[in-house]
Amino acid sequence: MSGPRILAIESSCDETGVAVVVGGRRIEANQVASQVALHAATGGIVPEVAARQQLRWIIPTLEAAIEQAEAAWDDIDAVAVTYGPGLIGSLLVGVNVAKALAVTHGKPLVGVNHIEGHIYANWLTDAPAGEPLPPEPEFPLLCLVVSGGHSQLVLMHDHGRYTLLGQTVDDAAGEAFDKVGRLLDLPYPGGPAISQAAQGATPVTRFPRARTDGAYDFSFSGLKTAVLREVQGYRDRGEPVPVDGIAAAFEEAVVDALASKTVGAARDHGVASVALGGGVAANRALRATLDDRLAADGLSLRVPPPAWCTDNGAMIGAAAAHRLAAGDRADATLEAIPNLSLPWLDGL
Amino acid sequence: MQRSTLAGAADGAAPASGSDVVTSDGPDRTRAIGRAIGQAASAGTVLALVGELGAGKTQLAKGVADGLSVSTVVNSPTFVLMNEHAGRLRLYHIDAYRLDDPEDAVAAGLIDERQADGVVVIEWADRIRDWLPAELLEVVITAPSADSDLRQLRWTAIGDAHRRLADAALRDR
Repeated sequence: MSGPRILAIESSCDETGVAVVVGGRRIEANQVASQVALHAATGGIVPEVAARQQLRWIIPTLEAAIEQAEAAWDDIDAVAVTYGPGLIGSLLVGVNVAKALAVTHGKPLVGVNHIEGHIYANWLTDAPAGEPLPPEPEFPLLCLVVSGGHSQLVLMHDHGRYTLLGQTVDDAAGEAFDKVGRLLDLPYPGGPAISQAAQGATPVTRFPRARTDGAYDFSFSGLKTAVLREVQGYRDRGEPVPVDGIAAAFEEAVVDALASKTVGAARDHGVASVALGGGVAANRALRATLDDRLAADGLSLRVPPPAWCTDNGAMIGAAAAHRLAAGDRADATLEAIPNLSLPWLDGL
Repeated sequence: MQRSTLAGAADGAAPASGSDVVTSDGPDRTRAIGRAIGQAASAGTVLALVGELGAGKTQLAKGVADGLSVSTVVNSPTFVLMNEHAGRLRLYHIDAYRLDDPEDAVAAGLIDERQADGVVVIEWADRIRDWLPAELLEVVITAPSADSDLRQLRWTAIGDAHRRLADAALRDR
């Protein structure tokens, strides 16, 4: 097998992920401990709890990953870790464990940007050793990264070379799902709950699509307010709130915004491939709508399996391989940076 | 939803000024009000925002950033809890939406001493009221209703500096 075998750690939010990835593509182990069930009780992430849970799970997850990979430390070529963006308390757990492992075992340390990890999930495969790997995404690649904390439309020219085409100017897509879920009294996390409620329901209205200054920017706060007013209207009239129909109208508006900006960017920049990343990529309506609209332009949509879209260590291992190849090494001074940004190239 | 003001819960040492109300008919107007606050803000300004989902707290924060000549995109810090932005003064944009336990604000590093040299805007400030500085400008925004875009921004200033800020930025608007 070609390429380095990297042990990768992801702890930016409420998932504790440790993976072993070879050559930036082939997953040998991918273990994730999730706190979603824990946070469902409070309707969101509780940072102190998240950090404590990271501490609780990091070593068992690490041990499980090493066991799954049947790897000895002699076989590991480097240690990689997410150092931002994310919750500081959660990030610190992974960063410090990674530093300790790298120093103890004398391995190079690679710091990875979480967003870059979501993009590189599109390179992952679980093909067994010795079998041919599926083709890589072709450049230029347009990637829509949508999750609880992020909504970015990224044009990737080559490994490590990115242009930020657009981003949310207020709420992230996943955050909008969570908050509207709360307005509709649906369980946390809001994304799957809203999708489920919306499925097969007829939208009760057409919520307005936001206009943004940037051609590829997103805005979801006006939509959130529109949902609030819609809900209040029913409550004021003493009528039952048609949760399913409102969920359907909301999901339609979000998907339409994400899809139309993505398709527009793909056309304007003549990209070779289009991919999704981040937890919201699991949304069925988003995938179906994008697939449909991209097909008209002869493009197909790449979507990693759901387990690689939500936070995990394997995507960090994939991104790390290219950072390592580029000579990008961190050392024991690596710090967690909650608002870390990718090194964007100047606009095209 | 808490309609009571933070001022009521604060230490009585600093005499509270009278509160007052400005109205907004939507995001543009809310941002303009924020811009006036940002322009009049000084080192140590703390703006505590209270209001339901969709009231316009982030819009007000965006306006403050504008008034501080911040050039980066100011989006919701709900996920990361705090964003920092470089401007005329450094802007610390905090969001306590996810904090159910106020002590989390300290544990998560949201409140720190560097903020005294900058401007702090706290969304969902009512969730961490015990940890707020004694002197601040509080703005309670009512959510728009089903048939009206109008929101009321009821402000209360605590301490001389914040009273002067409120007089300069909000009175007679």
